[in-house]
Amino acid sequence: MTIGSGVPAGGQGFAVENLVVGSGAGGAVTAAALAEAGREVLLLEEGPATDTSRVATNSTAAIAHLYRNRGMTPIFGRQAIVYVEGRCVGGSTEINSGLWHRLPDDAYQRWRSDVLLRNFSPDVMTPYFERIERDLSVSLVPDGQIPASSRLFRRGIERLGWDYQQVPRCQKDGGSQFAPGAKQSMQRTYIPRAVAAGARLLADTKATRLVIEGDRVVGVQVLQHPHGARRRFEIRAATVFLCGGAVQTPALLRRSGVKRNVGDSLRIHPMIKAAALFDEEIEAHDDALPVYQVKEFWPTITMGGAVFTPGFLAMTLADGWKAYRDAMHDWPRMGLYYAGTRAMVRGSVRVLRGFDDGVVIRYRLSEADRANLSTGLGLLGELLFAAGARAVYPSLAGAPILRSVDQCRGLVKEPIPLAAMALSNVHAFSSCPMGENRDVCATDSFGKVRGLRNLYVNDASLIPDAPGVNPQGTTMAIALRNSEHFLHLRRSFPARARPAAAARPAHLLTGAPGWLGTRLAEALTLGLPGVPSAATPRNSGLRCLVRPADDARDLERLSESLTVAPGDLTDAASLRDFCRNAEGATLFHVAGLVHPRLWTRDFDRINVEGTRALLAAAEEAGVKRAVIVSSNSPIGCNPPVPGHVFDESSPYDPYMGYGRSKARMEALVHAIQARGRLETVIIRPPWFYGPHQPPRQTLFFTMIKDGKFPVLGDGTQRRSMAYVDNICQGLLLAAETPHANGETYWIADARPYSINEIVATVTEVLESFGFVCEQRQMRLPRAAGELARRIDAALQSVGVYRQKIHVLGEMHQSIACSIAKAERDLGYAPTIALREGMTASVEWCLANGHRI
Amino acid sequence: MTDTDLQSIEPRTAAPALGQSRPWRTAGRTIAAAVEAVAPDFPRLDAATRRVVLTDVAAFTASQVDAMPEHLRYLYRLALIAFEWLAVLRFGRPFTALDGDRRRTWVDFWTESPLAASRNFVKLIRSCTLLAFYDHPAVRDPLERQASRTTGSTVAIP
Repeated sequence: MTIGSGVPAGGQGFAVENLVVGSGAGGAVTAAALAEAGREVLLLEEGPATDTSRVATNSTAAIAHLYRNRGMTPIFGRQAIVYVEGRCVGGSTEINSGLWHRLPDDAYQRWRSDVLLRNFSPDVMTPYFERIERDLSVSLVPDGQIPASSRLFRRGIERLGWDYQQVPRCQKDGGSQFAPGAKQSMQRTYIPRAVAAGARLLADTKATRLVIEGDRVVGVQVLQHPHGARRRFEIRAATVFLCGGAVQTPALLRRSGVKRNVGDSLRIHPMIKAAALFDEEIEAHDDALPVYQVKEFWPTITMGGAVFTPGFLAMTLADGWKAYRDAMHDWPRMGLYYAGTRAMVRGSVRVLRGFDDGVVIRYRLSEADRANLSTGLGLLGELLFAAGARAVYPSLAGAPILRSVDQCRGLVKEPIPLAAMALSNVHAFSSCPMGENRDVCATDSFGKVRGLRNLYVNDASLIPDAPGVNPQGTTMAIALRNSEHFLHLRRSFPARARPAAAARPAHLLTGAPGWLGTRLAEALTLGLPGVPSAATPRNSGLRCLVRPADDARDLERLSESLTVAPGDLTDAASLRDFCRNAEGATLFHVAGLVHPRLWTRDFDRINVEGTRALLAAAEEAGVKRAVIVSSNSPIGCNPPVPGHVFDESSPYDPYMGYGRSKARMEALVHAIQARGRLETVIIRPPWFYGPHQPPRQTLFFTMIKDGKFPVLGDGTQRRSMAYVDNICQGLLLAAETPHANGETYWIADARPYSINEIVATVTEVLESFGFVCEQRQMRLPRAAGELARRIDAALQSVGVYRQKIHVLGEMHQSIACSIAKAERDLGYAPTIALREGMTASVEWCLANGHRI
Repeated sequence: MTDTDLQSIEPRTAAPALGQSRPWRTAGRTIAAAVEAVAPDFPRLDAATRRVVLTDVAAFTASQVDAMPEHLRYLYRLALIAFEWLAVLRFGRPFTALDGDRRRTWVDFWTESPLAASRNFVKLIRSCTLLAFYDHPAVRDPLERQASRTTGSTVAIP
């Protein structure tokens, strides 16, 4: 690749489809993924297009050409920390050691739990890591090429019996990192790929501000500064990806007025260095980078080798120069090493008005961080003496030369004052964390900035906390995941519809990837072991209607026989595509609107008119049978008669707007049934529970755990509940039982439960998972429920829906049904009862990052 | 040979430009003088080479100051002016007009100050000087020749 190729002449006033700001680990991957998918991409880089291999052997030239502020960026706090990051085409991948780490396993669960990160697990991420590792030639340095400074380091570790690892590197041929082109940085890999696929690269151009109109970013103001000249202009873009790193990305966002959870949670890995004098001449300046890291004390403390030149050695000795300077006479026998820690507090990134580069980074190290750095330095000294060091020179102001292990242990016992430490940092992240926890996250689980429709972050800023390892691998894997998610959501509508329409499916399904829809898709493609009539998969072709904005990748992974048809119940054309070539198929209509955001009119738009359009499309396509999911709400609440249960002959008495819409939907279904072109079966499940539950159901668990679930009256009112696997069994039986045509069935667990029983069971289940639960719930008089019902009715009469009031308004009432008809006609036999079902629900919540 | 001996035989290092206006030109001279004061005396260099090296080192150090974020850059320049003129209170002359010993005394005074800001001020100059000095191409050969070597061959490391 010719660095800097594809720069638009003059750079003035052009518009692009996708603008990627920053060409480091996140930006290069994003640009390559988008360009290779055929998208138009402009890759913007603030720094110069310097070929790294031309300056890598000269430290001062490298600092001048490749480092932000020539390495003069401070982090303010109790003690200033020198922050080093790249500012050139390729970003920090051009100046780092090329060490490669995958994300440690413990981070997946922590992030799912702490920030509710969705679709993020080792199973999801491992393929991304593997692909990037192939692209970067990630490999171990062969034994014969391990540098002397590293072999000494390993000798010390092994003598102490500590745990350690050889860290793989992004490097071809395993030779010196100084060999031109050896390190597989972004300049050698993803940027050439992006350019080859048509991306344009604009170097020496800094994004200074986003141009925001309403809920969209329409462009980016830039400052171009090639060879000292300065020119400001604006680039218009349909979509903008910010990949400037954990400091520049939040700075740009904040400068542009986007501040919610931006730049408030910076995390770093501060480190302190030490030089060691050995008997052996190790000529560390001739060697490739060190390759071993001590894992014995990870994640609190990490130790490893550092880049060596005589200049870097002298800088490390600078703080104690008066005492240390004679060590320079022995420089061929010296090596440089570091001890780092995963600092646990949150720092900040702020911008100063009136300065293009006015960024203030603050990080106030805690006492624990100070103790960890002090302990790390002491342990590092102990290791180096075990390796054979004659003396150790810690990077501490006013410290003596360490000549014994006892002196090192003294550092552990009596922590060093922060003011004496010469600290540096090369890893920064978490300044715009991703996840569904809106209290702390700036973006959703895929990097989309909240509140803006076309703005994404795709760099180390997204990493929710300090991973304890070099973040390049994690940054790249997340960037690739998010880029492909973006492309997936914006896939061409006809292009996706055609292959789905080409196949002849046996089953059509609406409502995936929702709660019941996903479980039914699993039942159809994988089977539900242990569930009668649903244990065996129906692998004869399943087509799912999925809204374009929904993430269907988990769904698509279920089976090759599953295809996705993008569409919506409000889009009749997409419904015709969905049903095309589905003659003789069975349609499961699970989609519906239970809790609208605000307006009750949406009930009819989705539940009635959406169903009307869907069934019309199904009739037209020759679909044989439609199994339609209704609700208990068309029938309302039980009368105050002890033990009363609804059956299929119970009269309609719709409960509020939702019940009325479902009653109208059932009437519509009966009318279509009467035409005789489409068989229909109506299923009425009451309150669901089980895997794939939405956050509102998890909130139900949390409220019980915290003793805040409102029990109205004496809690003896009864509720029929339906575990999702039981419902799936009922749906499949309804689809496959010929004489079910034209019938309606209640499908629920074997018997209703009292509210007291539900609460007690959930409490027991949560406690069995180790949760500490309040033993008393919030008790309210029945009148409180009746008041809420009346308020709900009043609000809905003027078209307004408030979910919490609605739910509270029915909590004092019984909604219980009989499943006798389903048992008799269909052979329905629910096998999962409350305790077992709630246990599976809690397990699923914990496995999928729901915070209870 | 001591630092003082070296100081007495070497000409003043050429001052880098930190700006066109007079205060910034003075600041450039302050940096050059500070670099001379903190530059190491090992390895020994001939006078001409040392002059070339220290001029390059001063230029590097000045460019490092110039590369700071804008808001810090001006603060640092003000600190350079303070460093230059506060010396008058102690020695009766500004820093650049002092001899080598007094310059080093003044640098040590700031290095050992209880104020973190003054320690960090000198630390930046010292760190840049040491890096640029020891990684200077003209220093590499003398550094190789004058290093303390082990007797015999390199010890094998398992």
